[in-house]
Amino acid sequence: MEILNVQGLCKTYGSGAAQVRALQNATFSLQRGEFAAIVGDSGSGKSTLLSCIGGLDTPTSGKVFLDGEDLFALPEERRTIFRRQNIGFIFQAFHLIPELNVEQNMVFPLLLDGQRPEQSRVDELLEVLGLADRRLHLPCELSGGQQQRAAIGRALITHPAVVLADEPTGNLDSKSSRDVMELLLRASRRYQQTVLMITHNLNLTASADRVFRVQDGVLTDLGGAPV
Amino acid sequence: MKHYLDLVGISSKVRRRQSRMTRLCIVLAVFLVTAIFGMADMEIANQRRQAVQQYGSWHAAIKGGISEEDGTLLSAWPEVVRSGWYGAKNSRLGDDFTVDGRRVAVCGCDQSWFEMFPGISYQAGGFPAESGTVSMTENAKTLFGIQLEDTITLSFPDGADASFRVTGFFSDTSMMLEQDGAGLLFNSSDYKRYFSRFENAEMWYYIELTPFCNMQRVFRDIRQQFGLSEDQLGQNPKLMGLSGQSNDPYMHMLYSTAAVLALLVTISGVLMMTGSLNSSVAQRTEFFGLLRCLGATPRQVRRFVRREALGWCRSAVPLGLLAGTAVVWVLCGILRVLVPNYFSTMPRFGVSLAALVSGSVVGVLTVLLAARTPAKRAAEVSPLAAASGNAGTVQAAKRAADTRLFRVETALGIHHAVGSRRNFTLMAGSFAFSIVLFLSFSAMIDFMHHAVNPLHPSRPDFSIISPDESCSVPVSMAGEIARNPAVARVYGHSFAPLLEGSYNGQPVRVNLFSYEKNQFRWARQSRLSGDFDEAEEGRGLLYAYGADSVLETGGFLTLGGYALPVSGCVTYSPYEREPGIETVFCSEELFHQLTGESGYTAIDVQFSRGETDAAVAEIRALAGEGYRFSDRRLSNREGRGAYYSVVLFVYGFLAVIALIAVFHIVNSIALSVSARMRQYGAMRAIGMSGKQLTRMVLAEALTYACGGFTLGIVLGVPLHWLIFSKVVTFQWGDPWMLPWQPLLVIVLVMLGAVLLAAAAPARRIRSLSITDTISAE
Repeated sequence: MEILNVQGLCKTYGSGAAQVRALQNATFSLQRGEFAAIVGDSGSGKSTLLSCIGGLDTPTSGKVFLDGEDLFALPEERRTIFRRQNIGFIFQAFHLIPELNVEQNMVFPLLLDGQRPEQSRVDELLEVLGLADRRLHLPCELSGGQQQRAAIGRALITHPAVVLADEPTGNLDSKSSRDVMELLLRASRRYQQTVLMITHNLNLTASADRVFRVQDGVLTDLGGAPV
Repeated sequence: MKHYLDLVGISSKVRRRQSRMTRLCIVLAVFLVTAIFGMADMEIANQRRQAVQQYGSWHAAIKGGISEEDGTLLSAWPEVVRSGWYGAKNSRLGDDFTVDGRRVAVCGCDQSWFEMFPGISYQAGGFPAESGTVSMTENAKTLFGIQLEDTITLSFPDGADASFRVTGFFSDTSMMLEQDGAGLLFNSSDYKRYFSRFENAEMWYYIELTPFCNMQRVFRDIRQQFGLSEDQLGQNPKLMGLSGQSNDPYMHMLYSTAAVLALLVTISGVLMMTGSLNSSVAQRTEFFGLLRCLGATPRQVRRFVRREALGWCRSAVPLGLLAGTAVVWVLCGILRVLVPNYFSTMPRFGVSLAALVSGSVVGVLTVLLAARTPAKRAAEVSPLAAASGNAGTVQAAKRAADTRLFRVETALGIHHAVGSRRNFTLMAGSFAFSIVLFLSFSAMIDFMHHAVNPLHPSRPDFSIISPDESCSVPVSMAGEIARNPAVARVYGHSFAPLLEGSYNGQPVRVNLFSYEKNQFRWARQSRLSGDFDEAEEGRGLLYAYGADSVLETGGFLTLGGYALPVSGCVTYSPYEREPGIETVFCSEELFHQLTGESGYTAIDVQFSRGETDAAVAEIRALAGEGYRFSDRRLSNREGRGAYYSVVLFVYGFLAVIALIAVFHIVNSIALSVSARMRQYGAMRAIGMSGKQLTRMVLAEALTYACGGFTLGIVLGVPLHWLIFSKVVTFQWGDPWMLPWQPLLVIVLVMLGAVLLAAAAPARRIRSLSITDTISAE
């Protein structure tokens, strides 16, 4: 079942001589539960692509359909609500709220949505993430790997249609990177979760169902088959 | 955590240090409003008590149109607390109601009416309840040499006589003392019996109402029920005004002034807090970006910022209220000790409900208003700010700093200030606002000096006056009076009324007064134009400014055959100027030369502080019979009380404005530095010295101050001119001059604030380790 459909996505910065075409006519789609990776050099347009898909940035042209909904046809307020219900973000720098403990950080998107967190779901996720004994710890009391696992928990808590991860292992050592990748894969398999991940590390793409390359703003599908 | 807004509480606990400045802003705004309203309330309570002492506690007086039965009916109204009949005759001593040949004022009242005047109390004896009895002002003892239970004979203008037994002496009134007359008080029945046959001797019915009723409505009902016209129901304007129930235009003007002041404080508070909250938001762009990333809608972010601001109110508002109330207590205590004559009736530990309510309302309102823009800004933060990790706390520079004119650190400081046009306009604008307020309000000081007469240094405490206004008081008497140790100053003037003269070929009428050295010295203080030495040395004349005056400095006035130069003009004359008649002053020698008179028309005395009753008695004895006396000690004291109240209000407000300016500058610079902490850390890392950092912060602060000062002058000086011309020049003719004194004060205050503002953050940057500074949020 198709969950994400990106059509002719373009993003241009500046004008005239200073014009930069960060993204050129990117088109692809992802099925439910698919685990995809995007690789490319620094400045190639990977993050721009992810931001546009996530509705954080507005493309110059093109469309993004998420679960059949045209993301940019929605007004700002509705788009935000749609985004928080359907997209989970994982950042390279974790971006946990320093004042909240692990559990509070995880349930925060639900609270923004006015939902009551289901305790069993929270417990299960904490267990899966290996953070059950760290649930009351503040981010500053956790290692980098643990912080990123908490961020993954935050991204998964709302059962999003798609999880967008921007270099989730970029700030981690190799062991933590492996753990995080395993976790993302496990989540993808266990919850039939679609994941689109940016990475520099080609080794990490080995376990991905599909791999895309972005070079000078042009997206190329390097292969892989839908699950 | 049950709701996303619970993060506000958790976050504010962690960010307590960072939000300290904002909370301090709220405390200051609430403190200022509480202190201003608290002091105003205490002063109103004080004025109210004084007004009750001075003018009585009655609210309305009904003249004619109601009978005694109506009065009894009215006294039973639920809103009426006290009521009573009162009538007075000859209070200006114009008619021949005399005791021992001396004119007296007479009045009659019910005992219940007397209770409405707590300021008039019996020094000896009591109310003349029985028929054929009278009580008198205390000075009657000295004037007539009488005691309690003596009998006096009152002669009426129609030749009739009547004798009365004296039952008591009550406190003197300033009006009687000034006219050197005594007052007689009868009960209502006797008053009606003896005085109703004379004109304008009818009795009024006075009523005092319960404090919290709608007085204007009660008055309307009374008018309707008894068929009274508007003129028949007079009101006690001062008490009504102080009770907030007046329909007097002057009181309305006062209320609107208070409202404008409160509005100005609110605007200052909003400006101050907006800056603070903006800075707080700017420092957390990444945080708000993250919230947006996690799915918070712009509305949720706005709500978050507003809730956060309101959360600060929870602790800051009570703190501001407490501080404001404590300051009110301290100020009341100081005033009671320093100026007991005028502020002894001020409440010692009064709690003003109006101040608490207005402080809380203004605090919360200011925060909500101030949070609008920052909340909007926070809501507009792009989620990309967090995702990209490029969220800066400082706006990106649009152009490079100009390092050609100044050293690099100074250039950077200036660039930080003017880099963002919006920020610079906001900062300079709010500094300018303080200057404009300060200048506008300083015009009120000039108004106050003119409007409150007893302040004038020439105002005497006691005068010996020639009964027919001739020059019959010997000059030598002044020397003898001066020997009295209680006397601080003695000065006399001679007066020649309605002299015929000519000016530019046109006939003029002149009231000529002689001045001695004290009076010339005081005249210099109200100099409008001209050479006062020439006049003091007897070679010229001074004239008092009047809109219809034909005289001009530099012209020649012909008097008594002499063509005398008009040497100068004064804006203030101690003697009332009659329309169409010039008031002219000259030296004593010139007066003698022009009129041939060498005596004084009056000798004025000013006393040193302390007990002066004995000195007054001695001076009276020294002068002997044949003169009129005017004792202005009581009215001066009353007038000075009013003056101190105005002074307290005007200077207090100026101090508040200066305080706002200082705090605002300190706060703004501290916030600006906090926002650039990381940048400063980087600068230190690449070798910028502590001194250079201080210079940079100072340059930034001075740039804001210069911008604010320029804008403040451009807006404030014309406004000062406008207010000055409307309230001072129009009335008294003083020409407008650049208000350099207030300007100097506000410039010094601002410079001091800038130094203070730059010193603390610079010290903070220097004391932080470079790595900490770079990683500081």
